[in-house]
Amino acid sequence: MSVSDRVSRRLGQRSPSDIQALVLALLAGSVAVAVLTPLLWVLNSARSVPFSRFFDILFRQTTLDIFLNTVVLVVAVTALSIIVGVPLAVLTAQTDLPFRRLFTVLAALPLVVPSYIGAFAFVSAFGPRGELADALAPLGIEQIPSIYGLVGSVIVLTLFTYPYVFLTTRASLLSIDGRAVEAARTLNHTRLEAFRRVTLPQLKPGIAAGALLVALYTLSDFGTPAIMQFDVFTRIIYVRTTARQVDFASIFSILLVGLTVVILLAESRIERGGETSAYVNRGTDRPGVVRLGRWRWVATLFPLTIAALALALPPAILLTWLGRSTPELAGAAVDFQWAFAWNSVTVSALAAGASVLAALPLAYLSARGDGRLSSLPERASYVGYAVPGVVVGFGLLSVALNVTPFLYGSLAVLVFAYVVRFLPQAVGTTRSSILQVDPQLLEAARTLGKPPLVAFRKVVLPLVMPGIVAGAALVFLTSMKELAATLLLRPFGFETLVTYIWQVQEAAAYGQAAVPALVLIGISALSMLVILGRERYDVKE
Amino acid sequence: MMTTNDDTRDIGSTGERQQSSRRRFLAAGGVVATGALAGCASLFGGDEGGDYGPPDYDAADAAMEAMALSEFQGSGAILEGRPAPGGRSIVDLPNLAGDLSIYLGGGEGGLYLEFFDVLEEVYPEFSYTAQSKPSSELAAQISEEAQANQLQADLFISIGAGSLGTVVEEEATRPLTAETVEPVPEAFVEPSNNWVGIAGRARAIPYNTDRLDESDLPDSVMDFPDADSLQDGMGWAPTYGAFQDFITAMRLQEGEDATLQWLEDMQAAGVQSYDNEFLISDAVSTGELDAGFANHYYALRVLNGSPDRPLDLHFTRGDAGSLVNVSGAALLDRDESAGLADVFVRHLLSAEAQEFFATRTYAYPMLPGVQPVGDLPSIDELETPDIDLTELSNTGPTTDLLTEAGVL
Amino acid sequence: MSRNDTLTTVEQTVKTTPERDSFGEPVLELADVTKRFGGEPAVESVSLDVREGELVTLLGPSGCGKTTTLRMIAGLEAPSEGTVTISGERVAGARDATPPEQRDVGLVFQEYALFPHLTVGENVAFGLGEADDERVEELLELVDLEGYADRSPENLSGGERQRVALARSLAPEPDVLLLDEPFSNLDVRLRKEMREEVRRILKAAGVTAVSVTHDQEEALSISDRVAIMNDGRLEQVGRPEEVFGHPESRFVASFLGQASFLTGTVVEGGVDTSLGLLDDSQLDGSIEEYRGAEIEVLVRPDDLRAIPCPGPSTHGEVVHRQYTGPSFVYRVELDAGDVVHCQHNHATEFDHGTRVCIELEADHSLAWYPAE
Repeated sequence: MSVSDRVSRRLGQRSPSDIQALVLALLAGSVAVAVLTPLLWVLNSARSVPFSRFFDILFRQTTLDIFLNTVVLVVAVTALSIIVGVPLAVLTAQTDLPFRRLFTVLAALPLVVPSYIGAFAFVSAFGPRGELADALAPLGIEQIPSIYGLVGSVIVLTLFTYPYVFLTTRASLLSIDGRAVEAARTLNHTRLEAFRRVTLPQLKPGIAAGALLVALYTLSDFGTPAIMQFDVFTRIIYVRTTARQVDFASIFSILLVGLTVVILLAESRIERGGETSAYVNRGTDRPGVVRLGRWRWVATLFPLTIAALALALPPAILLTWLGRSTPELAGAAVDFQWAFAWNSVTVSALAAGASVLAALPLAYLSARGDGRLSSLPERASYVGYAVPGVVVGFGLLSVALNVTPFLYGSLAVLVFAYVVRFLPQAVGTTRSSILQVDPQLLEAARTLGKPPLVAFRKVVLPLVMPGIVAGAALVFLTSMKELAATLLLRPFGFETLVTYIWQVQEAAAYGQAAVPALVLIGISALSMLVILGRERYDVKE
Repeated sequence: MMTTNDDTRDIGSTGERQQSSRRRFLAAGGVVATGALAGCASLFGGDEGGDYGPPDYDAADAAMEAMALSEFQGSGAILEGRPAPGGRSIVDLPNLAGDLSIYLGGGEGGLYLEFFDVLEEVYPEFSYTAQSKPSSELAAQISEEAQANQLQADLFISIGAGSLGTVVEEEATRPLTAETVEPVPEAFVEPSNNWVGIAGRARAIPYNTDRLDESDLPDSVMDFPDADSLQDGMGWAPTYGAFQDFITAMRLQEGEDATLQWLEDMQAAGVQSYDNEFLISDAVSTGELDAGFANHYYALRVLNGSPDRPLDLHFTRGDAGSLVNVSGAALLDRDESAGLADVFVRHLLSAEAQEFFATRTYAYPMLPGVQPVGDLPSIDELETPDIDLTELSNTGPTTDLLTEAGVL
Repeated sequence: MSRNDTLTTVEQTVKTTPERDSFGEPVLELADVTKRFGGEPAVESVSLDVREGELVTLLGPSGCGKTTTLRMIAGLEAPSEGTVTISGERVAGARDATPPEQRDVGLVFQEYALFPHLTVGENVAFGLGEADDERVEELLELVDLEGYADRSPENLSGGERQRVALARSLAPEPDVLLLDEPFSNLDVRLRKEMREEVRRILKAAGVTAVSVTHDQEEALSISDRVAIMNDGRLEQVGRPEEVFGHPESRFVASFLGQASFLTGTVVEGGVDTSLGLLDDSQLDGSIEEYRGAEIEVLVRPDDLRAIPCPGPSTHGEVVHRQYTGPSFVYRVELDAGDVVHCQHNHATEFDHGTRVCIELEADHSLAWYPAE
């Protein structure tokens, strides 16, 4: 309450705490603006392209093709994710499927594999020079259907993003009041009808939330389409950026960001339509368990197949390559050095530290302030999250070169890119931690003689620390896996796990990527644990 | 532009030679010094006696003597009966000391890096950092960086002359010393010494001998879209620097319209796109493709690893398809390490280095004293088009053309 | 006639603390304090002095401004007008206010606000400049929590937490200790116990205290003085028996205990009510000025007795009977229109509809108010 009084201006009342509130607001505001810089710069670049050229590029056949490819990819992956995710959720949450708990975990786990590692593994398994081809060659089968292109991209992206739909749908299912279904059944509805008319409409917000996460992810993913050689916006923006063709890059970036905005608008409309109860487990009575009867064991094939493809295949492939030596044909890419891993750790740790520092004022203002103005900086920071990494990379490259040349090629720019993209993770965990701290504690400390900053340090900070640490961990782990911006912004001679894997992948020297790829999967698994720990997803019945 | 090492001396001064560890290191390799004949001694697999070079070296450094010419040479059947290379020896060159940053373009980064690593071993006070990216990407990056005065590297090694020309045009370079470029034929040196070729690469057509006869392949590259035997069986790598240079050459020779037509016709003939030309050569050898457009040495690499594959090279005559391009080096306009970079390039043009490139990367050497490997026709035997390599820098219209044709 | 329990408690308290009237100089002075939020005044022109060693309770319904007043004393709000002075030093006035950390005021929060990441001992020591284990032990002893220093606040019961909060606020020896609805979070049984406990602790510590509550029983039982607030204004300040027995306004009268009002006309020498003529001497103060006017006389359930009286001169009819455990309270609708309440022990029982006569049995003067 005290902060709010001070944040809202009242004439004739000036006190030290007013000044503190102003400082807080300024800090938060400047962080928000800083984080918006890459996007603003991109918009500005696009603006400076002469009109004729703008339209020329916009209406080319290739541009239209790329646009279509992107949209088709997003729609296909989203649709497929729903088709995979929803039944899995229903199976694990509402039926008597054997080993439900195990399958629940397995179904969520593919989030652990970075999608480009998945693509990498798939190409090395099913590609023209891959395992399957080798295995089939003695049988006389010369060529197998190409894994590249739309089909491959859709399959890979679906396999590693459907868990979003799975998790949100499952959360929805668990929070639906079972009594409503029972009421429907007392009103002469069969189980299926009850499901269709009572359960499904309540599931829609949950499914939609997950689907939109999938759509956003697909739209901004760079690694998979690049490996699958499927031309979508992210891939093209990357090519144009590296060729330093600013006009192309900025126009395509605008289009991509435009698509992102469309998806976000759709998300906010659907979320407003339904409650956000999708995320809240209220622990009310759940609808009764559906008996599968003789389909019980057959039904396990579905989650098993998905798990095999998404979870078993990539590590298996990587382990196979681990055993093999690199064929000399491949042109001998550089050997892996542990210094690369150290570089990854260093830059990610810097990003985590910077993010947490930047997050504090935003989170505090949003949690303790009143009115929409105080949560504005926090919301602005989410923009960076929605903008694809490749666009952030492009924007910062331009900014560095044109505005702050002394920073060009330095590690600071890369760290800043990570902060731009992943700040919201730190803000989110910090904010919810702050919300859980009773504001009266701060007042109590002040009545015991501690000035506001000391009170903050001694009382609020220790209580918020777990949230801050979780946020830092999340940023650290997500930065370790980031691909597009890293490729674009890394300083000269700075190789990380990710850039190494990419380089090796381009040279098709799969064996050498095995160790770093497995390391990345391990790291990703850690971040899953952090997320699950915070949300306390209930795997139990 | 001399190195900063206190061992510095001019090339050619055969006066007092100090016992530098580097010399001991190389002495056992028996590299022939400038002007000396190699003739007699076969160093390949040889324990035979012979004139291996300057006689005085310290027996205590026997460990370093283990580094023989075979360290520079590749291995494999393809190298049988090779004479010792002639040209400037590393022994005679100024020492390398300091840190060098290199932008390394092209897909054979690994092999070049191996050579650089050897240099690091020979010169303990020398170290390098290299960043590998496609040459065209680097050319664009270097141009931008030069404009903002933010060049991040000292040296640019490109896989094709086109990218080199681009950076020269953007005034991102400094000339190499006359000393450095001296042994290289004129055709492969930029008129103002702004870049020098290090290894030659001929455009070629790798083809699968099980599927095609050499007679199935036209002598003119412009006839390829129409060849019946090649329908739906060809591959190219349109993002590859060398390929783009090839298209630029075609543009210069045949004109824009004909080139555009050719690109469209090739697509109509079902040509497939790959990321790089090594993959194409490999694909041809396995039968995934019938034929492709690639630099000559990729096929040789495939064959060196798997000699039994049905792969051979065809060369067109007198057109862009038989272009001999060079990978080359240009000094970037940075103050810090210009001298070091120049002497480094000189090392790349040493007999040992050229032998390395010839026998390991299968490139066409720049020094007359070093022979191309295997059955390759000599540079004179190739009917190359009449194009100034520097003109390959004119890549803008090429990219536009490729984009317009829908290839990029 | 049974007496209201509250009065009994008050009497008892009177007996046990004979020094009630011997308080020192004013430690806390509120002068014309006003607080506006937006355009609305939440607190209006409140003036109050609290003397050293006193325990004053601000009593009133929710929204009456008592908590806001408390927070202004603490420094967590600043007054729009008026001044707050503590120990002679002005801490809040027009345009400036000393922040809470610089005031010598302690605050025990309604939900205690114990620091969950510190132990009991560390909580208590929080306001002390330097660590002082002895003092912490002393305070824990005072609040009857010896040996609790190393416990975590999470594991304590409500009553224990309150005592820790009390000890913590007392540690820096504040000039004034504020308590915000201190007992509302305890269950009813515990409340009575804790009231006594807290009063004992406060008196033992000798601290000046201001408490805030909406529970009149609590206010009347432990306070030295009670200040009734309504709608931002201070209605009456005085000793519990004064405000209870001689409420100065209708509001105070209705707020404390149960009130019924007898309408009547002032005539020569008395008031003519539906229960008969009341003499001047039976009424508080002087009604001279109101001769001829209509007034309302305050009667409490224990002032009235209903007797069965079937004859024609009955006063009214029993319309409702409420059983409260120790007694019955009957609501009687008088024929004249007033509604009164009578309290009886459970020996007497009237049914609904019974016609009764009402007897006035007050042994004190009655308060009255001009008719509205």
